[in-house]
Amino acid sequence: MNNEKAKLVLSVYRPGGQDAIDPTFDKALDQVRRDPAMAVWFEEQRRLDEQMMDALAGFPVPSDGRLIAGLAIEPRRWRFAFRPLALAASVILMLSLGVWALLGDRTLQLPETATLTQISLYLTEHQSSLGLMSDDLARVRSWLESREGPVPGKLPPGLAQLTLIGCETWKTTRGRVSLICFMGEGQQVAHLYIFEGAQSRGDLPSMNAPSFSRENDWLLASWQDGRSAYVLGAPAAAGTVIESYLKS
Amino acid sequence: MEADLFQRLLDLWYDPLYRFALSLSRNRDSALDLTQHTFACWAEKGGALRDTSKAKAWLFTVLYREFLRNERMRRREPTADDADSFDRIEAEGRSSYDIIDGHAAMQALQSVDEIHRAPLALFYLENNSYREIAEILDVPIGTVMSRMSRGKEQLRGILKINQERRFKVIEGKRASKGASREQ
Repeated sequence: MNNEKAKLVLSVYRPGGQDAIDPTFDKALDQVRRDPAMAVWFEEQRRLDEQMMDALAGFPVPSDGRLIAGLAIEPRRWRFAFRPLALAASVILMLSLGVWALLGDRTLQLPETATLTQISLYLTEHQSSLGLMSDDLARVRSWLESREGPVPGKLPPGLAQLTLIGCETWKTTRGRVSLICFMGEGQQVAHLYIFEGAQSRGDLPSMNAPSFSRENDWLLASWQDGRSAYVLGAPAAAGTVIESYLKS
Repeated sequence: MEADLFQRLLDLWYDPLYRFALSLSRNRDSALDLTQHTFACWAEKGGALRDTSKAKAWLFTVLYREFLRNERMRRREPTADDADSFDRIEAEGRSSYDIIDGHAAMQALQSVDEIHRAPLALFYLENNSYREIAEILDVPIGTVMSRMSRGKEQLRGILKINQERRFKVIEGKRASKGASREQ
C-alpha cells in the first residue's frame, strides 16, 4: 500500500481508537509505523479530528426546538389509540381488571407545597405533550371546556398575537390545570398555564401588574384574574422579553 | 411505550441532528425545520422500524434526504444565497489549527463543499464510523473515504485561512492601539 492509498483509508479512522481492531485499517496503520512522514501526517490528522470533535461538541443548540419537536408525537399517539386490535385488547384488559373507574379518575399527583410556577415548570418538563393541536382559539376553548379544564378569560394582548399551537388539561391533586401553547417569532414557544380557583391564591397580583421571575432557564410571569390563576412561561435562552407578551 | 421511545430518541438525538442540519443548511431556521421534520417523520413512520437500534441511522438518513430534497427545490428557484458559494481552498503544508470554539469549527465545516460536508459532519459531530456514514448517505464505502479525504484537505485550508485572518485582525488592532498611544 502506498502513502496516498493509506491516507485515503485513514481519513475515516476515528481518533478515539474505536477502529483499532478493524482489519480495514491494518495495512494503512503499518504504513504509518514504517514511514516517518506518514507518522507526522497521521498525528496531524488525529489532532485536527480531536480539535474539531471537541469544539463541535460544545456548539449550542436552541432549547425551544426540542420542545416543538416533542409535539410531533401527538397525532400518532391518538391514531395508535384507535387501531382496532389495540383498542379491542385494551377494552378486554380494562374490563377484566375492572379499572374503568381508575381510568376515569386519572389524577396527577403534585406536591401540596409547590408554588404555581414550580407546578408549571414540572408540567413543562414531564407533561409536554398536547391533547389538541389547533391554531383556532375557539376550538381550544371548546376542547378545554368539554374536559372541564380551566379556560382562560381574556388573553393578554401580546400573547393573543402569537400563533396558537394547541392545548392540554390535567386533573391534579392541586385542582384542574390547563395549558395553552403558543409560538412566537423565531419559533419561540410560550406556555400559558391556567389554574382553577384563584381564590386560594390570594397572594398573586392582578393581570395589570404580574409577578415576574426566572427559574430553570425559564422566564415566568404569574397573575390572577377572576376565578383563575395564570402562569406564563417562555425559555430564557431564546432571548424572549416575556413582558412583551402581556402588553398590547 | 411509543411516546417513551420518542422522548428517548428526542433526548438522545435532537442535539446531534440539529448540529448536522446546521452544518448542511448553514442556516439556523432551516436547521430547526429539518430537525423538526425528522422527528415528525419518526412520529409518523418510525413505528414501522422493528429494530430500534437502527433508529439513529434512520433519523440521520431522513434528515439528510430532506436536506437534499430542499436543496433541489431551492436550486430550481435561484436565490441570493446561490452567490454565497465558497472557493475551493487547498491546504499548503501541515500545521496545527487554532480552533477557538464551536462557532469557529462550525463555520469552517459549513465552508466545505456540500458533497464533502455531509460525511465530515457525520464523522465530527457524531463520531460515526465509515460504515455508518455510508449507510446514512447511501453511498459505497470507497466514496465515503474519498469524500472524507478531500473534505479534510479542504477543511485544513479553510482553517488555515481563517487563522491567518484572525491574526491579521489582532495585528491590526494592536497597530491601531499603538498608533493612538503615540498620538
